[in-house]
Amino acid sequence: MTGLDTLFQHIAAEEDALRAGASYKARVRERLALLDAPVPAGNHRPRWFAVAALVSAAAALALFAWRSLQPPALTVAINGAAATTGAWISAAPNEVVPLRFSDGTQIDIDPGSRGRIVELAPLGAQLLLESGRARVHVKSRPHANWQLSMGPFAVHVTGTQFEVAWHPEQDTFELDLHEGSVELTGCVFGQGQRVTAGQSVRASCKRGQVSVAERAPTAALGSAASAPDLAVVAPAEAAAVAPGLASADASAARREGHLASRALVGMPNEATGYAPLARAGKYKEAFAVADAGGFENECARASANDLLLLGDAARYAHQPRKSEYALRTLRRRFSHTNDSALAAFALGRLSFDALSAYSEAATWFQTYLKEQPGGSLTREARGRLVEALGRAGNPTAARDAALRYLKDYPTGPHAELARRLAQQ
Amino acid sequence: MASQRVDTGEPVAAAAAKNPASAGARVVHLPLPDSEVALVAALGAGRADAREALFDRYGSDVERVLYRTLGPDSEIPDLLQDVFVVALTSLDQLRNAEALRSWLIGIAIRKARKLISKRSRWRFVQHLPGFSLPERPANTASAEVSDALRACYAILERMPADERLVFALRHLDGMELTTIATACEISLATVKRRLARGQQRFLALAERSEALVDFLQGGGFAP
Repeated sequence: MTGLDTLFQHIAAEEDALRAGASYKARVRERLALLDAPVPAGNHRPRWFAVAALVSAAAALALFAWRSLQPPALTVAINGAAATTGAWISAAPNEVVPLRFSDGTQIDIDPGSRGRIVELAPLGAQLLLESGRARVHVKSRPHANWQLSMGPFAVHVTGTQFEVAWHPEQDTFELDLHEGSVELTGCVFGQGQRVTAGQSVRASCKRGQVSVAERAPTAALGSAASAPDLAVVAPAEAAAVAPGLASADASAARREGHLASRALVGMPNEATGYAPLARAGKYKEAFAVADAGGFENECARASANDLLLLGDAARYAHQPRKSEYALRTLRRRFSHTNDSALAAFALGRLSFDALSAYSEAATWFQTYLKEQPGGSLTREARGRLVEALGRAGNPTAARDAALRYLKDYPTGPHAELARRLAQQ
Repeated sequence: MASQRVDTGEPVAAAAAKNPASAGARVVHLPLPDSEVALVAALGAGRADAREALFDRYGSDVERVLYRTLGPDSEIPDLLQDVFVVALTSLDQLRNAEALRSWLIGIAIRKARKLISKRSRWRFVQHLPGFSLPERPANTASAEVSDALRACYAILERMPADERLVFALRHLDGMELTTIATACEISLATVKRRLARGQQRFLALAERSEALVDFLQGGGFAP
């Protein structure tokens, strides 16, 4: 085998790794299933041809008559040039693409975003945001009907201002509503969830998560009779809320006068993404998937439990700094929780085993013991603390910790080491 | 007192033993017959589950061919969908149902060729708004290999579409020459000619690339 053959094998492996982590295949499959049943031209049925032609002609005539009674569809211009249904929009990395509709509606497609004008109708339009962000100002009109679709999600609009983003690789939906109200459908939103001005929504279909944060203190809760409210969570505590439980949780929270927090229950994960792989013990594969989607991005929106999984996945993939990042993110985002204390223990173990940072490891084990006195990992944390202090070159502290360990766990797994250090 | 565990280095997430994923409801479809002929017949009858089955059976093959011929490219999701939409709307042109897979791969190759040619034509206006070359991510390789991969893709992008397709299918996908001929709808002699030209061009460009020097040490292409 030549060097070039080896290189080509690397390329194929690289491409296969990317393919394995790709999330678009489910969407393509879904779209194909939803296609109108195609009628191949060669599916000849001469006996029916004349009938079909007559029916088609009649339908066309009826359509023409119906259309002649309808107001004209909206028109849209991009940078002053008219665009039509089906137009593909791909914004360059440094360019906003402005869509200006004939009813005064303005939609700005952010740099690097991609989308398509699916349909132009008299009272609105349908747009598809394939990826990226759009800033939307829909002109309020009676019976206006606009829809923006993003992956499994859709935003139904009558008249409002909002920003919406869809990141398919990370399976992240974002909506910041500035004015009016919109209705969200699809996946975690079910048949319809009303969002009102001042609310920010973050959702993931794969993880079955949705969080809603109030951005403005005076903003009212959604009150549409036809659509249940979403849970309202403080920005600092925005957490996943279970679909189906959302309405009940929100109501309870309002009744009790506090915020619904840490309702970390979700729909079952799909058999894709890093979490199922990590739970199955396939840590290297899980890390590759998480890293392909942007490890930091994954950490930014992962639940506490998933951050522990990301920490484990990175550790087993020999990426200690990434593991540290996930665990520190957990402690920052979910401070004062059991998971945060577990992250402290994991950080201690990581510092000791992978980074050889013994003083730091000792500090993390002490943090765990302080945050979880009597926790299920207390004995291990105290034993590891003895070991870390000994390695850190702090004999006095190591001896004290060793004596305390021997008093409580004379036959514990670190007892022999503790005895040695106690005699020094 | 809380029960104690021995720290065996097990994952913290597992040790926490929380939030076991519950099984979700799922819709179970009766399977379609395995044969390509039956699948084509079901597609012709407009069965939605046949469209899903078509993608399940051949989606990965089509996607792989798109990757091999284009590299990691932001257009691949759209092209993948296009291939199947074209296939579903032109099923009548499939003369031999048993050749369904190679027919789909042929469509994918034509789609890839069209995109490569289009990009070649418009390369001189790459700086215009709306046009951006895709990123070439490298997720699993070392830094040296990643550099070599990028250099390799850069060379492939400089090759004429016909040469690049044959070259990529042969060297990246390991496709047999006769299979390439069928998929590209060209003669075996043409495949050999394009491959020879592609190899020559690749070597000439690779020799100028520092990132590829090490990979040229073992000689050129295996006979």
